[in-house]
Parts: sequence; structure tokens; C-alpha cells
Amino acid sequence: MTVLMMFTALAIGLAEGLPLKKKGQRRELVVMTTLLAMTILLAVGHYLALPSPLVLLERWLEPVGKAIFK
Amino acid sequence: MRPFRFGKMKKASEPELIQPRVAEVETELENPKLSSSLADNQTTMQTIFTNCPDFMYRELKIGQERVPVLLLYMNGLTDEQTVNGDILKSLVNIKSSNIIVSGSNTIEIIKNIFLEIGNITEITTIGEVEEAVLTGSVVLLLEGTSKALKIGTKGFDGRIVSEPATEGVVRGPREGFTESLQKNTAMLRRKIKTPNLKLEKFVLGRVTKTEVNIAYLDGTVNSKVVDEVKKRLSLIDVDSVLESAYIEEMIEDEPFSVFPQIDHSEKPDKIAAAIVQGQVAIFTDGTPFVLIVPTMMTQFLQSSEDYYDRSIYATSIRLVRFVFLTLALLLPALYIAITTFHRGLLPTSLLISITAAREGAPFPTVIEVLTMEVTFEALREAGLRLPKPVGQAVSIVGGLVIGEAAVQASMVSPVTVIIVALTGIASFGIPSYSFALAIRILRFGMIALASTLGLYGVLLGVLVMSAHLVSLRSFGVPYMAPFAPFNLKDMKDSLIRLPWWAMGDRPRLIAKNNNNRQRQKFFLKPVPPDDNEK
Amino acid sequence: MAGKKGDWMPEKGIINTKQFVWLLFIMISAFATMQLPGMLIMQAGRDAWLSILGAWLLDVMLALVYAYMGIRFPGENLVQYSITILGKYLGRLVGILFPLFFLLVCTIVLRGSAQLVNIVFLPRTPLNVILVTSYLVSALIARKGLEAIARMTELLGPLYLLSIITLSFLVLPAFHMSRLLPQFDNGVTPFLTGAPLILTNFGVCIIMAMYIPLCNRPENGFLAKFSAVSMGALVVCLVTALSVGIFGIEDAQYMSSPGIQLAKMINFSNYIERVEMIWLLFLVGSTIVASSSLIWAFGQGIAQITGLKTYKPLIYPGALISLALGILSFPSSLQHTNFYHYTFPIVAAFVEVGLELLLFAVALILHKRGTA
Repeated sequence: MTVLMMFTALAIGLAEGLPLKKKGQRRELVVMTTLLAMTILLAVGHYLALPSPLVLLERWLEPVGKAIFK
Repeated sequence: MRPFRFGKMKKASEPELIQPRVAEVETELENPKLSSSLADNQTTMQTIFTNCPDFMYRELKIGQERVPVLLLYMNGLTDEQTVNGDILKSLVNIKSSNIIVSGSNTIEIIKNIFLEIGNITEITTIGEVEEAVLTGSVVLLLEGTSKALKIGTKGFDGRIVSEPATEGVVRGPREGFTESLQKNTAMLRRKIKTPNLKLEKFVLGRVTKTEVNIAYLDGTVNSKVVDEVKKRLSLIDVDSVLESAYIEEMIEDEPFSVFPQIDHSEKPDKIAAAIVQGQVAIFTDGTPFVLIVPTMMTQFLQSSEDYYDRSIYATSIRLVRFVFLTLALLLPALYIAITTFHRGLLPTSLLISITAAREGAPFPTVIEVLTMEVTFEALREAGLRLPKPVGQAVSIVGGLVIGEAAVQASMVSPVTVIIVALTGIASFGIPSYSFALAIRILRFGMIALASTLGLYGVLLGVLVMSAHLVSLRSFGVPYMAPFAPFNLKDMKDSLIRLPWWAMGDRPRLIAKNNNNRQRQKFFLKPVPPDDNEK
Repeated sequence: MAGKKGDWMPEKGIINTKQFVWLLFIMISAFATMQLPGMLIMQAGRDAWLSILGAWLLDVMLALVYAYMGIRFPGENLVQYSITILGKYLGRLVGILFPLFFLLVCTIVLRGSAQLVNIVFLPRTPLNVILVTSYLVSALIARKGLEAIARMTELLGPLYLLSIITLSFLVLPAFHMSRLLPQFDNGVTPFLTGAPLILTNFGVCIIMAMYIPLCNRPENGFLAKFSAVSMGALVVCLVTALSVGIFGIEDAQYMSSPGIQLAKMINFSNYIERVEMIWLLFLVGSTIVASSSLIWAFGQGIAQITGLKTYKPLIYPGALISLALGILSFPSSLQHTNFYHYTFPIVAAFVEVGLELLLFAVALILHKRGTA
């Protein structure tokens, strides 16, 4: 899964990044790469058995939710 | 994620090219004037036209002064009778008149007094002479002057006006366009008798020098569309334009779409109707197919006969066409999806009979359907290209022998044959051949999706297809109009066809200018005479 | 920040009011008819349909705020006016929460619909395959821009509405009023907690604040939202009330998707069965289109925060993040449902109501105003 995701991120990075680089839109390139890096981070984190951000969010907020909703 | 961008980028990056013709600039550079010596001119022309046995030059001496005159023309492109009967005769007749034809204004005298032909212009350069000769005019060169006369005698035997082979109608005009541009535009003029019908001439193709005319109704058409058409046409710089498809592919909005974005027709009545409602027609010399822009998808599902039949019938036949469209696109895919993934959707009795019919069939349904579809496409193609008698044999072999035998040998199940046959018939139900081609291609994509992801795959395919369709534009008009963006007023002539008395407005999206929206008097609905009102 | 207004609007398409309505309708109904009725029935019991009415009222009030903000800051969307109001740094910090929220919603919606597809259509296909294909199509649509999405909803919305109404008519004979009674059996608590639960779902249409600047008549924002949320509420209300009225409260509260169960009820004289598949096709189609507009909103928002000229290169990376979250965060559908039921409403309430009201209050106090 991790490898697949990194591969996809790379593929997207190439497909979207090359035209951007050609047009010289550096800012776009940086933001896009950051987003892709986040995906790779997520995937690597999963591989290292770190909880995903949503799980963290859940740990934090679920008790509140459970108090309000059945 | 769109690697193929260069088509559009090229268009955008060269806006300087909008000047009318590139060829004109070239001709000015290497376009020497005519010499005043006839002999010089003759040698020049003979060098240009070496090895052109169809190039004719006729020398004669006119008037009592015996001034040498040279007539140049292409054999076969000019009307022989005009050349012999009118031009030569009048030139010879100069002798018997007492007007003196030598001097500086000889050419005017010949032009104004002697030639009994309407279309005469003076030309001065070698290039013009060359072009005039090549487009079928006769050029008259005179000793002692550097001017020449271009005498329009264009006339060669073309096909006579006949019923078009592609768009048959039961009711409606039966004439179709021919290969001659002049004849075609004349047929259009015969239908639209107003000076507002404008024709603008372009010459495209470095070698073919094809004449292309755009026709529109001034005051009704959206002038932005006309400008856009002119701009895109003037950007074309190619060797040859032999059919309107050359132009179509070079001016359409989305070059990599499977869907045709420009409609074409060879029926003058259809073109006239399009022009009257504000579209632009593009006539190309040498082909009976005339392009119509802007185009919306519904146009491909309409036939000109819809407007000549009763509106209720026309509406229902249009609805049926939408059903055909869906079937032609999705039927095999749905069959595969349902029989392999979602058998629960089928009624039990139907499921049993399908399963029974598939008994002993060695291949999975996908393979069956695919082979049959490919066979069908092959048969269709074979029947199209072969000489007619052989073509019939092909369809007999295909339909009877292959279908029947394959089922008999239980290679394919009869249900598959039914499905493929239904799909074929449905795709014939789409009036536009070029649109049906797009559907034919997409059908295979849908089959692939259905065989991997079932109904969900079909759904994805339909979503992607409609996303593509709604984002298409043809000369600024959304392709899927009037469905998306939805426009209730324009619905009157889309899925349904209201009676003529109810179609008061021109389609909004085509002719955008507001001042000339109404195309007829309102309240034209026929009212039967009231009995009490005597 | 005066010159900021509409300085860069990466998306150039323009939508009309009708398309606005359908966009929001698809957004609300796709999100709220899938799993929500089940959760709601569990929460509010027989009062579920009343909670929807309550939520509808609350949401309309919320919509007033959003529509007002859209007019107060003409030509600016949610993200842009949070920067205008709160300044360069704080504004960006708050502003980025909105796109992230849209991405979260997208994750939940598509994961939910992929699970349904997995159960109903393709039990033997891995869930991830379905998820990946859904995301691919969503991103493909999103990249074509809001104009294309709006036209898609214009085609799909009426079909979807029609399909639900048809469905309701077909199951109506099995409906028993008595199963809906008595109301307020357990006091008003179920009603009062049910309303916020559903409000947080209806509230997804805060995405309207992303559309308003692209609308040809921004002043119609409230009207559009009102019609859309009314239609959406009607749809959810129909599904909820019918599920309770047909299956009874005891069965209905444990259904993961009562709408599907309703559709399963339909059979035409025992001939055609499993009509729910056809209905589900509309539902899944709507979800995919809805999530494409969520991904679009994410891309647009991020592009504005970082000051890009175009949002298009961010669409696929955004979809990929959402996909990764969807796959990695929920090992099974149980976790997804739990997250959706307990955690999501809190997050949603914070973003949809809390943040926006904060912006609203600050704008009023500091007399911030967009420049038209």
C-alpha cells in the first residue's frame, strides 16, 4: 500500500509538475509537491504504525461526541 | 494530467497571424508585373506551364490593325462554348467595326465594347494571370499593354444536382449539394433571398487553392462567432484542403475528443435552416458537405425531416432516438454487467432462459460479446467499401451464415447475437453518421468497464463521458445545451419539437444578440372558424 | 487588504442560480441520504423526521449568515474573506481549515459510498479498488472546473430527485402511520440532539460560500441555498419517515443505510427485484459528483491561501491525500461509521458554525467590509 501510494504520488508529481516547470510556475510546483509529500508522509506513517490524523482527531473528539450522541 | 496541450497552445501563441492570408504576402514578393511585350509574356507563361498539355494558348490578330492578342486558358476548366462562341467571335468581329483598337486604351475598349461577357476584371501581374488560368478563367493578353483581362468563363461539367446519398428523407426537398461551390452557394441563395445573407471568401491550401466560403445571416448571427470562424480559418496554412473534414479538424475546439464538434450536411434546406437560426455555414469547394458552426449535441440527434413531419410524431421519434443512443452505447455493457455481476437484477424466469441459452457456450460473456461486436463492425465496414453487389453478399454471409452457424455450433449464445444485433440497429437509428462513430468507439470502452467493475464501472464510464460532454464547447456554445446549462426556452427544439407556430424565438445560445430574437409573429396558432360566428 | 478582492480567482467559470441550487442539492442529498438516516433514527428514534425539520430551520438561519457574508464581501469566497477579516497570518490559519474540512467530508462521503458499492454491487472486489476508481473519476471531473461540475449536477440532480420521489411512491403502500407514533416519547432530548447531528450534515453546504463569488447573481445565494436545503431536507425526511413507518423503529435504527433497504422493498409484482441497485447507481453517481466539487473546493481554497494562479495542479494531489486518509484511517466500515457518527459532527459544528460565526462577529465588530 505504502509503495503504491508513493508511486502514485510520484506519477502525479511528474504528470502535473513537468508542465508547471515548463511554464515556470514555481509557486504552484512547490504547493503541489508539498501536498504530495503529505501523502507520502501519511503512507510512511502508516507503514511505521503511526496513527493517521483522522484517528488522532477521533481519539480527541470521540468522547465529546459520545457524550452528546447515543 | 493533460499531456496533449500543444494544439491549443499553438493557436493561442500566434495571434499575429490573424491577417487575412499568408499567401498574399508571398505573392507580392515574387510577383512580377506583366510586361508590355506580348512575346515576353507568352514565354513567361509557357515556362510556368511547361509540361501542362492542358494549358491552351490561342493567338489571333484583331481589328484592321491586326493587333496580336493571346488567349490563355485551361482546357476543360473553361466553358468551351463561351470561349469559342462568345470570346473568339467578338474578337474577330472587331475587324468589321470601325473602331480603332490600337493605342493606350485598347484593353478598355475591348472590355467595354466588344466582349459579350459579364464577369471581366483587369489584372496586372503574372501571379494573377496564373491563378486566373488555374481557376478556369480565360486570360486575354494584348500587345503593347501590361494589363490583361480575366474573363470569367468558369464552367466544367460537374455532377448534376441529385438526391443526397447520406441524408434520405421521405418528405422534404430532395436536392443535395454538389461538388461545385458556385452551384452550392446558388442553391443557398435560392432559399434565402435577402442581401443579409453574406458570403465571405477564403482561399485555403497552398497547393489546392481551395475556395472556402462562410455564409451567415447578417443581423441574426452572433458576430463574435463569425469573427472567431474567420480567425480560425485564417490560421489554417496547409498544403491541401480536399474536403471539409480538413477544415473541421483544424478549427474545432477540442482536438482530442471522440465526439464530432462540428455538424455537416449536404442538404441545402438543412443549411438554410441553420443559417436562418443564426449559425454559420462553411462551404468548401469540391465537396458537397457543408459545415455548420456552432454545433450542439442535440443537432446530431435531429434530422431535417423532423421539421417536415407533424410535431407530435417528430417529438416521439426524437425521444426514440435518445433511447437508441442509450442502447447503442450501453446495451452490450449492461448485458455483460448484469449477467456476470448482478444476476439478481434479472427476473428469475428471464435469468433461467438466459442461463439455459448459454448452456455449453465455451467462452465468457465478455469474449462472446466482444467477438460478435468486432465481427459486426467488420461486416459493416466491408459492406460499406465493397462494390454494391458484393456488399450484399457480405451481409448475407455475415448475418445468416456466421450468426446462425455460430449459434448452431454453440460457439456463442443466441442471447448475445440478439444483443449485438439490437445494438447495431440502435446505432443505425442515430441520424448522424459521425456521431454514431463516436458512440461505436465508446461502446467498447463501456464493455471493458462493465466486464471489470460491473454496473459500477458503467456508471463511472457514463460519469466521465458526461463530464467530458458538459465541458465541451463549440465556438463558445456549450455542447450539451440546452440540457446543461438548462434553458427552458431552447428546449422547444431539442428533445421535443414544438409545432412551428410555437417556435417564436430563435435559439438563445446560438444567436446571442438580443435585438433580433423573435423570428416570427406570435399567436400563429391556427384557430378553426367558430361555428357560432356566422 | 483593499486590493485583495478577486485579485486572483483561479476558477473562471460562471454558474447561474439554477446550477447553484442543483450543486447544493446534490451536495446535501448525496451526503445525507446514504448513512445519515440510519444514524439519525438511532439518535432520535421516531422523532427523527422532526429533527430534520428542526435542522432545516437552523440551517436556513445559518445560510442567512453565509449569504450575508457573501454579499458583504463581494467577489470573495470563504477563504478569501477570512484573510480579509483576520489578516494575513491568522486569516490564512483559519482559512485553511475550510479546505481541509472539505477534504475530510470528501473522505467520509466517498468511503461511505465505496462501502455501499462493495456490499451491493461488487462483494468480491476489494474495497480499495472501488475507492481508487471513485477518486479517479471525482478528480477527473473536478479538474474540469466548477462549470462542468455544475452542469453535471444539473443533469444528475433532477434525475436523483425524481428517483427518490418515485421510490417513495412505490413503497408508500407499506407505510404505517402508527409506527411513527407516539412522537416525543422520550421527551425532547432525542429531538434536540438529533437536530444538530443532521445540521452538521446539511451544513456541508457551507461550500456555497465557495460558489457565491462565481455565481452570476451572488445576491441569489440565499434563495438558492434555501431551495436546495428544502429539497434536500424533503428527500432525507422522506427516507427517514418512510423507513421508520415501514420497518418500525426497532429494525430501522440498526440499518446502515435505510434508503437501500427501502429500495429493496420494491418489486414489480415479484418480477423485477433488487431495484435498489438502480437507485444506488443514482446515489453513487451523485456522491461522486458531490465529492468532485469538494475536491474542487479544496483545490480552490488551497490555491487562494498560497496565492496560486491556478488550482488545477492541486486537484490530483488533493484527491490522493483524501484517498490515503480514507484507506489508512478506517480499517473497517465500523470505524468509518463511528467516526462519522461521533467525531465528524463535532468537527463539522466547529467549522461550519463556530468558525463562520467567529468570522461574522469579527467582521461586524471591526467593521470589515469587502470592496466592491
